[in-house]
Order: sequence, then C-alpha cells, then structure tokens
Amino acid sequence: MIPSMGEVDIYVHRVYFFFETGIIVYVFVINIIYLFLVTLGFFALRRHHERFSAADRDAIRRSPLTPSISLIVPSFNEEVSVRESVGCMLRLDYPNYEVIVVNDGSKDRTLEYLIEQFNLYKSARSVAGPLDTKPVRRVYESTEPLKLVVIDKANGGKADSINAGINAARGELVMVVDSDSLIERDGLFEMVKPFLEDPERTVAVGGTVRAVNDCEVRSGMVRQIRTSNSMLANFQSVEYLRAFFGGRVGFSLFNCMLIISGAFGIFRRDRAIEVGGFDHSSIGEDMELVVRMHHHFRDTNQPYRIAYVAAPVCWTEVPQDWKILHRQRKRWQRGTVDSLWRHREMLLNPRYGFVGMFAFPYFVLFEMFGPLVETLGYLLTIVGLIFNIISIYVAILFFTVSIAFGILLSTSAVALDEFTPCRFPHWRNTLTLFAAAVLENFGFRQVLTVWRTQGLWEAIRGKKASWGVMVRRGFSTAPVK
Amino acid sequence: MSKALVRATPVYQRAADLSAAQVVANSWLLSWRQPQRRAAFYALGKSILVIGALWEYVWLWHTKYYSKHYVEVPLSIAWSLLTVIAGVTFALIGCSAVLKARSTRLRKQHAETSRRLTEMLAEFIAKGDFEDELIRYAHHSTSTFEECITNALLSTRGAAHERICELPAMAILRDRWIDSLHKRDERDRRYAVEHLALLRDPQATMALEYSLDDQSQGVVAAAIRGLLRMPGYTEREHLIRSLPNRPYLVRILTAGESPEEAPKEMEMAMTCGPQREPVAAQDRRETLALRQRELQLRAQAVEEAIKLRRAHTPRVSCSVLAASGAKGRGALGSMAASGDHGDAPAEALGGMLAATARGGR
Repeated sequence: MIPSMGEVDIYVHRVYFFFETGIIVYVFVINIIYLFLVTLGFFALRRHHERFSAADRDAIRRSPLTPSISLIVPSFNEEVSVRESVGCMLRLDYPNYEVIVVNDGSKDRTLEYLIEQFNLYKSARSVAGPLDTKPVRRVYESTEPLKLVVIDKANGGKADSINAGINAARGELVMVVDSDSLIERDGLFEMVKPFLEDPERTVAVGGTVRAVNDCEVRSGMVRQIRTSNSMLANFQSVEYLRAFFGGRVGFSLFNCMLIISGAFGIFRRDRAIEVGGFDHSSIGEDMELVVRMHHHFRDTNQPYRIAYVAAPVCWTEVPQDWKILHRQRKRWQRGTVDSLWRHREMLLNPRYGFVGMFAFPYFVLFEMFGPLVETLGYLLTIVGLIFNIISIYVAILFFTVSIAFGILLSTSAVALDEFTPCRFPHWRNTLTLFAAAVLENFGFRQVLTVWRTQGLWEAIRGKKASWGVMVRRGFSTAPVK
Repeated sequence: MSKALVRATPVYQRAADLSAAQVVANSWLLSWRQPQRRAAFYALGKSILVIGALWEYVWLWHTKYYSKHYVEVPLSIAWSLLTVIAGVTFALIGCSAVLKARSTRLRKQHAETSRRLTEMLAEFIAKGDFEDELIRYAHHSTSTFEECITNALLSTRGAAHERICELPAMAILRDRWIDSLHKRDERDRRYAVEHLALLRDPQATMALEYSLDDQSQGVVAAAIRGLLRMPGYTEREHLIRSLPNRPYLVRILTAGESPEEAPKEMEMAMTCGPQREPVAAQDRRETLALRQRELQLRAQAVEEAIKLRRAHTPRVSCSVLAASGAKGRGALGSMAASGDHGDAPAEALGGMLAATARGGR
C-alpha cells in the first residue's frame, strides 16, 4: 500500500525530530561533560600546581641520585627557531641532563646553523639502539662543554626522529620537546616530580603547553607573558587553556589520560622501549604511544601511572595562518582517529578500567565523532529551516544555548588561568583573552568543526600522513610597551 | 572475576584465603587510599556538588519563572539554562577581575613592606634597633615578615644568623611554625618544617623529629635535612642509616646532605625494563675526553674562585666588624696593628671613622 503524502510528511517529521532531538541531547551531554572536567580542573589544579620549594630544588641539584634526562628535539626545517630553542634548552636549571637534537633530513639550513652556533664536531658516539630507525648519517657533539648531541639522519618522520633520539639517549628519562618550543628554566624539576614521588609506577608525564606568539622572549626565556596581536593566536591560546586545565587535569586524576602533547612530554626510557617506542606509521604518534602504553601495561597487569603536571610550561608558537592551522587540525584529527582505531579493542572493555570504560568512549564519541555530529546538527537545522519543519525562534534559541555553553567553558578556562603561576600580568591581556573566549564561538569553533570533519573523512579514506609544514615567525623579542 | 585480574591485585599474596571479590574489593580500597586517588575523589565529589547546585538553579528558573511563559518544557529549560550560564559567566569574569585587582594591589603592598622590613632587619642586625616595630610586623604582615626572615636566614651566616634568631619576634614565628605541623595541608607542614630547619635551633629538634613520621615525603625530607644540619644533633648517624629504607623521593632530597655517607643501597635505579647496552669503545674515549675537558675547566673555575675568595674574605670580615659598632672598632684596631690581614682592617676602620664624622655609622 502506498502511503499518502500526509503520512510521508509525518514520517519525515518524525525522523527529523528523532535526529534533531538526538543531536540536542548529544550537545547537552558533551557540554555537561566538558563543564564537569573544567570544574574538576578547578578543584584539582591547586594540587597540580604544587612546585618544589627552593630548598627541595637545591637538594635535588646536589643529590647524586637525581635521575638523568635526555631532551629529544626532533627538527625538520626549523632554521628560524632552532638555535634559540636549543640555546634555551641548554640553559635549563637541572643538574643532570643532555640535549639531543635530531635533524630529520631538513632541506633548509637547520643543521648548518646548529654546527655554526654550537661549534659542533663530528663525533664517534654510538647511537645504535633497540628501536628501528632510518639510517643515521652523522653524529655531532659540541667542542664546548655543552651536553649537546646532534643526530643527522635520513628523513623518516617525527616518530622516527624521536626513536633515533631514544636510541642515543643516556638518560633514565627521555623528554620530547618540539624545536619551536621554549621550556621554562625550572620546568624539568616539576616534570620529574611524579617520577620521584612514585618511581615504580610512573611511566609518562605531560606538562602544559601555551602559546608564545608575541610574548617578550629574551635569551631563549619568556620574560613577559602577553597575548598575541593576532586574534587567531588568541583563540588558540584559549583553546589550549581549556584543553589543559579542563580535560587533562580531569583525566589525569583517574589515570586515564590518553594524550601527552608531542611538544612537551617525558617518558621513562626503558618503558618507552618496552612498548616499542613511537610508531612510524602513526600520524598522531604522541597520542598513539600513550594509548599503547595503557593497552600494554593493562594487558601485562603491570601497575603504571600516566600523569599530568600543570606547573611546568612549554611555550610554543601556534599557527597564525589559516592554511597552516587547517593542515594542523586535520592532522590532529586524523591522529586521534588513527590511535583510537588501532586500539579499538579497549573500547568499553572493563579489563582496561577507567581508560576502557570512560576515557576511550569519551574520545570516540566526542573527539572522534563530535565534529561530524556538530556539522550534521548545523546542516539539519538549516534543512529544517528551509523546509519550515522548525521555527527560526527555536533554532536560534538552541544555537544560542550551545554557544553560551561554549562561552562558559572558555571563560572558565581563562578564569582558571588566574590561579596559575604563569598568568597574564596585565589587565589588558586578561580582557583580550576573555574577549577571545567569547568571540571564538562565533565562527572559529564552527570552522574548526568543519576541518575536523574533513580530517575524520581523510582518516576513513586512509590518506597518507606526513610532517606538517609550519611557517615559523621566530620568537618575538620586542620589549613591552 | 578472572583469575588474572585477581592475581594482578597487590594484596593477592597476602590474602590467599579470601574470596576473589574480597581481594578485588580490598585492592580497590587500598588504591583509593593513595594520595592522588584520594585527591581525585575529593575533586570529583566537589565537582558533582557544583554541577548539582547549578542544575538546581536551572530547575528553579524553569519551575518558578520560565514554565509560566513557555508551555513547551524544552524551551523553558533552554531559557533557564541560558540564564544560569549567563549568570555564571558574568560571575567568573567578575571574580577574575576582582582577583586580578587584589593580586596587583597585594603585590605592590608586599613589595613596599618587604623593602621596609629588609631595611629594618639590616638595622637590627647592625645596631639592634626597630625591635618593637619588627614584632608589630610579625603580628600584622605575617607572610611578608616570614618571607623576609627566610631570605635573611638563608643569606646570613655566623653572628648575623644568630642575631636574627635572637629577634624576639622569632619566638612568635617558631611557635606558629610548630603549630603548623599539625595542619592538614601538606604545603603548610612542609613550609613550617623548612623554616624550623633554617633556624638551626636545638629547641626545634623535637618538632623536626615529630615530622619524621609525616605522611608527606616532602615534609619528611625537609625534616631530615633540618636535623642533619642541626648543630650537635646526636642521632645523626642513626638517621643516616635509616635513609635507605625511606621512599625514593626522600632519598633523593636528602642524598646531598651526606654524600660521603650515602650507602650504595640508596641508589635505586629506575630499571624495570631492558638494560642500556654498553657504549662503544670509541664513543667512550670521546666521552672521557669531553669529561676531562669539562673537569679541567671546572678546576680552573674553582681555583679562580678560591683566589677571589682569599682576596675578599678579610675585607668582608672587616666590613662585618665595622658594622657591629664599638666592639668591632676595637677588634679592627688590634687587627690593623698586628698587620695579619693586610690593608683590609685599616681600610674598614678608616671608612667607619669617616662615616662617624659625617654623622652616620
């Protein structure tokens, strides 16, 4: 029997309302979870900002038992910022560390600049190790009493470079830092804190990453924190604050953090080797390693802890160009999809505890498919308006609620920044950040959603991954006005 | 419950006679007693309360106000949500503004008070003035006073250090720090122990010994450091022998205090996975050459520092004597007469007399 036009209309309306209600519930749930994570961050941040006292630091400096750290800096075409960031890393306040820069077949003058700046000579140091990497061409060390090693190798990607660094490392802990990043002078003390407190279980620790664009940088140190002149960079600053002070703190509390930023993470070398190091074939190698660690240590019933500490800050240059940001976000999304897909057996598996039952489903539902659902929501609303299924009043009201939630979350993250040691010193900067927290919800967030959906689509199609090209501006050295 | 999971629980060995469920329950209870898990639970509880309270507000707006204007429940709830979100957002921005203004004002005040206090402390060390004013500061500007005292204690030695410890306000501070040892917050306890240790006062020994049993490793480490630096502390050997049985963090934070006595057992390497393979011979030669060069440079630097120190020590001592008044003047006179310390006593004496002639010290 063929249904009448009236019946078809009713069916269409029902299906439409089913999807629309689903999306509204989804948006409500995701925002409540975000709000919950930010509130958790508010209560837990104080503990995460605890620093070693001056006396403790002095004791660690003098202690012969302090664990050694190898800082691994993978570099690919980083001639603009590599000298400054390596110089900054060599001036860190920690008694027992070395810096290993891995030049991943750069096509610019990255290696030449390093040789010139730090008086490097060809060294016979062995860099062979248990992890497979592309062939190493040469190893350089400094003629000056600097603990700097530069490895020049054939191009193999970021993961390959980090693995080469892990092979060459002599420290008990290896720390991965991007070459366009600056670490706070006493950052290493805070990063090793969880390893000292719980040496048996702690396998990895992540720190906070913040945007350095237009901050005053002198001698490789951030002297004056300030917001950028570019609103795009400020939007990303707010995003970083929200991600770190909200998400990471909350997940870390329950030992189910699935991401340690590739720009600033520290691992126990033996444990990183045990799980096979960074995966060359993965595009989101930082997230993949952390998820693999959860997977491996739960499978082998080894007690472990992956922690986040808010106090140490790594300053990084965020893209100020829409094209680069587009590429970066697509890559991140594909990395997330790739990591989650590789370890899909953890999803809703009670064997993996909080990771399998909460963090993994959260990432699949809200980080992987979130952009798709949000895009669908926008499309459905437009379709509903065109065919007069919903009133414009209802559409605007629900869109406003969704935007208001976003503003609340962003302003909460900016407000949380007031409790941190790295807060903005000037009124003007805080106001700019609050303005960015409001404005990012009108356009920027929607654009990101579309890009992330593109990333999801590319991941499903299995598009090949590569290092992202980032046009560096270098660090600003302009004095404060 | 799988057997593998049960075996994975830390209490498995001790609880072979318990049922699987009991073992797992025990393990969970034990894991929740860990500080980070406990903190997570507290934070979780507070977050649930906050979100619950916010939802209560949304519901109140819905039932008391918006449901009368909008018949459809989703619309009424959407408006209630908007109202509460707007309220919280403005409250957050307002609170941030207040915090910012307050911290700016406090920073300025603190800088001013700190400068004034440092001057007064310097005067007190030299002349013994400003005692009453310092006591007033100890009562009213507690944190600034403590900070200045700490800086002074850290940067002074010998007579000057003793002079600060003689300050009547120090008794107030000492009592306050001893009281803080019972506080719940770990940071307060560690702060108190570190400051008590700075005093090097045998009267604080008991308080520091009390802190050796503290739950926090940081507090224990600070107490051990304080006791090992305490002049005439009789249990030093016993304390050093107990260090290998302490947690890793405590061993690291105290190993620098007794390097010559640090036993081998203290070195707990972080080696659970595969061991590092041996370094190639060529590589080792390279490393040795670099290390030798580094050591040579260090030795040169140390020699230069010793020379500089030798040259400056008599001058510094004489300046201190010059600042200590009439007694110092006598001592400087006799030193200048004996000629043991070169020109330094005569220079200091000359400077002191010139200052007196100008009307100062």
